[in-house]
Amino acid sequence: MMEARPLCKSVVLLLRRWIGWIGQAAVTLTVVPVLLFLIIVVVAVMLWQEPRLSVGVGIAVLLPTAIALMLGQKGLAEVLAISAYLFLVVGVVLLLVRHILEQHRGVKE
Amino acid sequence: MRTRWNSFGSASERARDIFWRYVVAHKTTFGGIALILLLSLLPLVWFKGDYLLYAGDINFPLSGTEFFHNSWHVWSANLLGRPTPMDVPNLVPYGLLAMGCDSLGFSAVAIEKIVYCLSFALCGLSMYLLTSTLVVGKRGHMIALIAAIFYMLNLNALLDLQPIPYFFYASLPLVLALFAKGIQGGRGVGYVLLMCLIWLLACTQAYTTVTFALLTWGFMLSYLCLYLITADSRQKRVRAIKFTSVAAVVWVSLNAFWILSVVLSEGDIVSAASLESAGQSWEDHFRMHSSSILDSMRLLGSWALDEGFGGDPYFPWGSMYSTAVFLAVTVLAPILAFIPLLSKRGRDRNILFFSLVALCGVFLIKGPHPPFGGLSTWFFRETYLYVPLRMVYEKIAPFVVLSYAFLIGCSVVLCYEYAKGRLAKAFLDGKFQRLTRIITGTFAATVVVILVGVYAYPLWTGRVAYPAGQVLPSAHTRIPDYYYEAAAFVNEQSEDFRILSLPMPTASACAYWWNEGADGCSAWSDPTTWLFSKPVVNSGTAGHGVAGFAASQLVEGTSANGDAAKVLALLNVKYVLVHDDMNWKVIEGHPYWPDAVSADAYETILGSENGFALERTFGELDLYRNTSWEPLHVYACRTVSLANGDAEAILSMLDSADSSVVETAFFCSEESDSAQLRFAEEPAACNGNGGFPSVSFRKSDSTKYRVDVTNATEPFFLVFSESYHPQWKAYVNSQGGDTNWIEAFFQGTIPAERHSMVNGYANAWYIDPQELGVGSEFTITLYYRPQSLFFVGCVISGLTFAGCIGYVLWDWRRKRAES
Repeated sequence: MMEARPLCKSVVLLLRRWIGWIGQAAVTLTVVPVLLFLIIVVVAVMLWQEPRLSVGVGIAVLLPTAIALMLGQKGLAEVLAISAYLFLVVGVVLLLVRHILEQHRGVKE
Repeated sequence: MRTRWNSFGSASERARDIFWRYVVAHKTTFGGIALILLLSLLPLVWFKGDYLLYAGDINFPLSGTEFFHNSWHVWSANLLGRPTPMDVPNLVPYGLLAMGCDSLGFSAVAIEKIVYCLSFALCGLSMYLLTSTLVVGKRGHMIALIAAIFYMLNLNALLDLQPIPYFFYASLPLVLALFAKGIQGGRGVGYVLLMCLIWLLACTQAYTTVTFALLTWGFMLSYLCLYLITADSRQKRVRAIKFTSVAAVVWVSLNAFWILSVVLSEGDIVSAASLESAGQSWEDHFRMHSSSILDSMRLLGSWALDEGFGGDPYFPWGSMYSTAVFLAVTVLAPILAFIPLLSKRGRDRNILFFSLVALCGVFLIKGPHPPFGGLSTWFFRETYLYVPLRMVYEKIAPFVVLSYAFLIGCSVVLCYEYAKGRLAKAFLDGKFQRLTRIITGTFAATVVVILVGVYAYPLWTGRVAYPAGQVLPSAHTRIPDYYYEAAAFVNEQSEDFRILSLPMPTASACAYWWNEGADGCSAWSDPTTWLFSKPVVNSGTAGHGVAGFAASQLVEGTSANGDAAKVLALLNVKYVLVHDDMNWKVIEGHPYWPDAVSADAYETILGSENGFALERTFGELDLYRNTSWEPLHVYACRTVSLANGDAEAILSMLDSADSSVVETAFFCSEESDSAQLRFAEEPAACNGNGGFPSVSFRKSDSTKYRVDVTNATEPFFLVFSESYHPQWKAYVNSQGGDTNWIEAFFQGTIPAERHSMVNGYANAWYIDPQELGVGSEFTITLYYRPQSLFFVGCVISGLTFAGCIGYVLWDWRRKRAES
């Protein structure tokens, strides 16, 4: 009996630890993607509702690009220019899709 | 009588009245056009007296008539002869314009000035038309004017200022404007014909690079797609598709004169576009001609902007664009270009279209650079786009600039309107309206001045024309008088021969140093090509290696037996032109001039070499005569020799040959197949065993020679000293007649297996009079057959042109009668 108690205790401890890990993993694996998904959905809905937001961010990022260039930070300016470009692409594509859908809706009505 | 005079006078007054009323009603349009026309005189600032602009890529043809004549034929006699189907589109409009000005007595400098001013005016007017077509509203004219001025004066125009390709850039908005107007208004056939006629007359020249034609159609079809997707009725869609289909058919018919030649000479074009000849992989080339996304968006994507040669920058003003002020200014253009998307007008079809074109263009220009560099490389490789778009910045940038111009025009006016209305209302509560208008107007004007004044300032100051550097000469060029004296001496000779120019580059280029570089010449096109009426062999470009081989043999001085003179005699070279005015700072160690030595060294070499004698000296030019030369353009060979190997194997045979190489044909085992080589062993006449034919010829043009043969009783080889091409055909006429371009399609030719390459480059036909059944006297027409395709194309184009004009006039008269 005396030998069984520490064994049970260690098994319980081990199980608890495993459960902790599994729990942690489960939380990480569900909450983070859910959060990410929610963020993406929120951003997508926002952009879908107002694609000009993406264009605005793109244009706004071009301003620090100019400053980085003037300060001689070519690498930073490149990174900023790439992100500005991507924002602009997303904005233009969304605007175009919305424009097309609105046109078709208008025609149907 | 009095009544008639009165009625005439009143009619003229009425017409004047109508005219002035029309001008007043459209005063904004006329004001804009007047301003654009005034700006189109700006190129005059770049010139210096009677100096030509001739440097680098600005290879202005020095003779308009010659240029037209060369473009009219699909074979050029220059170098050792080469197919030139790609030069045909040069006929319209530049060929016609240059020839017209030339025949009116204008100098080359005057013609160059006219061309620059005209293309500048076309540039502004066509952008003005495009914008005013697409933007309808209160501020439409202001948007159009800003767009037009930006399109004329921007960094791309500054970096790629070549007078002839500039026509494409200048007329691109015009073509899109007419197309957009056509599909939006559902115009009829008359309009389609008129559009295609204007397109033909304004833009065809650019299609010497076929990619531009494909890109133009791609651009217009993209616009059509967007129109079809967003059109609000099926009827409109059907009308737009019909309009485009008719336009495509009419355009192809009108442009048949160059399309037929180009499509059927595809092999020559692909080999000319081969990158392997330049010793560069396509990936290297692709990377070199693309640029980072930052530079692409700022229109600073040309690889040469920060590059130079021997310490001299290619663009002396390029360093200015690295200063803080200019760095900020260059980002202004992309910022302004995308601002219209933020407004309510952002959902306008045209603003979306041009924004998308600009972003797609930037993506293509950035090539393998991030983001998605791997995707870009994969896309270009898998779709073979790297072949037509191998100089991606030069090809795509005009579309980005066009989009920017339209968007910037909208942007400036939108910002002005916004500041004047909303901001003034918010902060000033609608007070001080006049003051607000002045302040916002001044701000908008400042932005425009920065964009078109500061952004491309070398266009205003004239620095766009390269000033003399330490190594690179000035772009202002005046060809020295001694060139004209040498040309006069050569041109007065009636014989048919070639001139070899030394030092010879391996690719098409020249580098001369005149007047301490103040009026030198460093360009891709050697001006001697224009001055001499005889073909000048001035580069050993791909396919003409034997000329480079002969030149290098001269330098190496491989033997003193007169071998070099004999090789040059086989090339029909009578004179060797040695330049003492070379720009040694450029050519020494340059990969294009691997064998260059000084004029003194050439003097020593040519003096010690048998077979050359100094004929005349003209200033810095020495003209040596090849004493081994005899007229060898078209001849019947006396002896046939088979060299085991390629063209260089001929050299070893020349060592053992008799002192004269006249009327000898050298077959190379590596350049002929077994069927062709079989004939090299057959003709008895060639080996002196039978009667020898007598041959005389008359050159009609570079694509056609009439050869009269007499005393031909035995088989012989007819050698024709132009570069070998399977499309050179020999037509035998027993009646002594000539074969015309129509007969060339139907008349039988000497079979292909009897047509082979001799002397390392030339054509030869095995002629057996008995087998041909032509007796001992007959005529042979040597004809480059693709010229017939060009003529067929001309007939199709001419008929379509006449039909278009006729229909447009008939339609106009019918409508007039109806109204």
